[in-house]
Amino acid sequence: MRRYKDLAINNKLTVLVVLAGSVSLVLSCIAFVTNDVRMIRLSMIDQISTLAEVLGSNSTAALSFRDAETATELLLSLEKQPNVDLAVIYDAAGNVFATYDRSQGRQLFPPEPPRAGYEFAGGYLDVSRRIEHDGQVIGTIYLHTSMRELYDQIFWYVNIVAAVMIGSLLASIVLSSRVQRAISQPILELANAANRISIESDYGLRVEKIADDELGILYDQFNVMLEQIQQRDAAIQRANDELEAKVESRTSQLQKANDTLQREVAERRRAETELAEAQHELMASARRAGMAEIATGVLHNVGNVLNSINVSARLASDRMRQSKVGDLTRVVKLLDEHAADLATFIGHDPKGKRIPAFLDLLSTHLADERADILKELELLNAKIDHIKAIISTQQSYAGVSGVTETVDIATLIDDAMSLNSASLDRHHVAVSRDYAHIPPVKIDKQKALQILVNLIKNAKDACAASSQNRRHLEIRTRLGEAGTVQIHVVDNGVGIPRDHLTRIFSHGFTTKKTGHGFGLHSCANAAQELGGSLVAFSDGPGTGATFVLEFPYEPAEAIV
Amino acid sequence: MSAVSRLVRVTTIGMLVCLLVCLTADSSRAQPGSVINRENTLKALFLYNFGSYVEWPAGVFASENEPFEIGVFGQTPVEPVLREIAANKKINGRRIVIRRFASIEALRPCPIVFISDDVDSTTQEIALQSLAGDHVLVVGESAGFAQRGGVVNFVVESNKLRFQINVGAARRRGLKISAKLLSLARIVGAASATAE
Repeated sequence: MRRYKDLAINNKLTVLVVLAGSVSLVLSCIAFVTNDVRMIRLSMIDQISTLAEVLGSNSTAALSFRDAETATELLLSLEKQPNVDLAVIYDAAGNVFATYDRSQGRQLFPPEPPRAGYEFAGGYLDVSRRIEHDGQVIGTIYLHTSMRELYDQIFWYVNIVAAVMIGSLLASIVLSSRVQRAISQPILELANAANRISIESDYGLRVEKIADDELGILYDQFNVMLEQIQQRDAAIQRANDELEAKVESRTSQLQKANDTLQREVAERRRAETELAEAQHELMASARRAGMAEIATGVLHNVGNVLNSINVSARLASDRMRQSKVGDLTRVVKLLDEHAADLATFIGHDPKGKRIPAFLDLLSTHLADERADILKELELLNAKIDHIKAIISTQQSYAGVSGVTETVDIATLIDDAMSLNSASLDRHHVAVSRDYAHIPPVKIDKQKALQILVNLIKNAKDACAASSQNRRHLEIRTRLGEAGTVQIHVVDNGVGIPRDHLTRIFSHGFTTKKTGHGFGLHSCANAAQELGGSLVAFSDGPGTGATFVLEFPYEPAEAIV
Repeated sequence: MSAVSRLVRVTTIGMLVCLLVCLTADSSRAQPGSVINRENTLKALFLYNFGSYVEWPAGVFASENEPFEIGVFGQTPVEPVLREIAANKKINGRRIVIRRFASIEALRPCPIVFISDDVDSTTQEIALQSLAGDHVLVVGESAGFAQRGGVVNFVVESNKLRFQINVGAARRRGLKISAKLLSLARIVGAASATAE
């Protein structure tokens, strides 16, 4: 159902008139009916009281002379009073003396005379009167009168009111629908005009007033308002134009600022690039430092081998110096002196007789000597080969980094180990190996070697710095769960304090007097470049440390 | 008001019907034994009540304060009951005084004189004669008393105490009997009136 306030104004006016009319009608009807009911009740009281008085007066003799029959006859006259349903006469003592009951015994008499007066109860009017004679109360009469008549009358009133209501409502609807036009028509026209304006956005439209009443004023004000809107529109347009100009200038300013900013950003980017390059160079220098370390190792090893070469060479030269070749020269000289009588000399001369035995001894001696020297020379050769091997190892790792090669992990570790073998021996570090079976992998060999050499060298340093009697280094290889290769370098050296575990990988951090703080940093970087990681574990100072290098396992393609 | 007049009319008709019924039932006389106690009481009550339903001429009572005298002639059990009523009640605002007349010589006119059954019929006749000129409501309780010149006579009908009224005798004695009282009474005396 639509609410009243949403109704069209003409309907609203009709409802107003009809509502006002019907409300006043209903109220006046209620007033009339109420008054009538009151009057009817009053007249009923009056009438029934009179009836009771007459009946009471007529029944005095019957009461005085105890003639109940006569009293009952008297009450029988109430047949003609259709509203009196019950009548009772009580004697002076309050006993029931005579009764009348229209409904033949269905009604109950009050057993005692009710108090004098009247009462409306349960749709009945009860009237009770004292019967007096000669100044004395000789009895009571009680009449029980139905209000049916009154109710019938009210019912008729209500019907009449309803009929009048409907009639007057119809009349007021017809009348108001005509009269309300004078008010609603101009308002509806105004509403239409407003609607048209809002749809067409044409504020040039004007309305024409019909009368000079309040609606006429409304029309005038409406026109004034339209005029103002037009002016305001123009003002807004102007302001808008200005604003656009402002926005344009501000945009160009912003553009300039933006350009500046972009330039700054570019500069900053360039600075960043430079920084990256510097860092890269630093990395390269670190790697060079690593290379130098390898070179140091190589030279050390070479030096060691050279030492034994030196010994071997000296041995050989000493042997040669002690050689019995001079004895042979003397025998040859003796034989030259006795060239003419060689046979006599050998056969008869005492010196000559010893020559064949001497030669035999000499030849045996020389043969031994040759064998010794050959042996030394072979050793020498072997040591030279060793040097060659060391140098060729160095050469093989000195190549350009970033090139992946097929490498056997065990060989790689052994190479790294051999680069450190001299210092490991010197510091009495026992080395054990625990290799898992890992097929050859593809890896940047030089980076891996650099890391391993560094780790082994660190382990050796850690062992050397500790007071441990049995210095020990173990290298393990494992295939990781997530398709990785793990190389564990485990030492029982000085260990790492817990708070150093991560710092040791940062640039410039070192605990060694001669350290430069590049080693582990560049190792970690190299591990990252391999696509892997380098992690340190230690339970604290004196407990040793474990470094784990982990990189993705890329099996080498099968060689056809 | 029409309703009231209608009611009055109906009441009158009702009373007449009642009277008719009572007259037809006259002959049937019930056992007096069962009634005897109540009968005396009722007779005393009725005698007292007659005082307010009958109007005496103005000269009967000399002053406002003069008591209302009820005379009793003859020995009767009604008297003590009547004396009891007289002690408690008033008639028209007057005290009630009971006068007992032991003999016909002692008999004097009172507003009401009750001649009991105890008095023989000859003496009753003399008494009636002696009171004939006075404004006295003469009440009896003997058969044919009203017809013989008494104004009121008690009779028992269908085990009920009723009374006959000789209207002519009342008029002769200057007494105005209320219509209400008449409506309850058996009206007699036409024969007696013509005989007088």
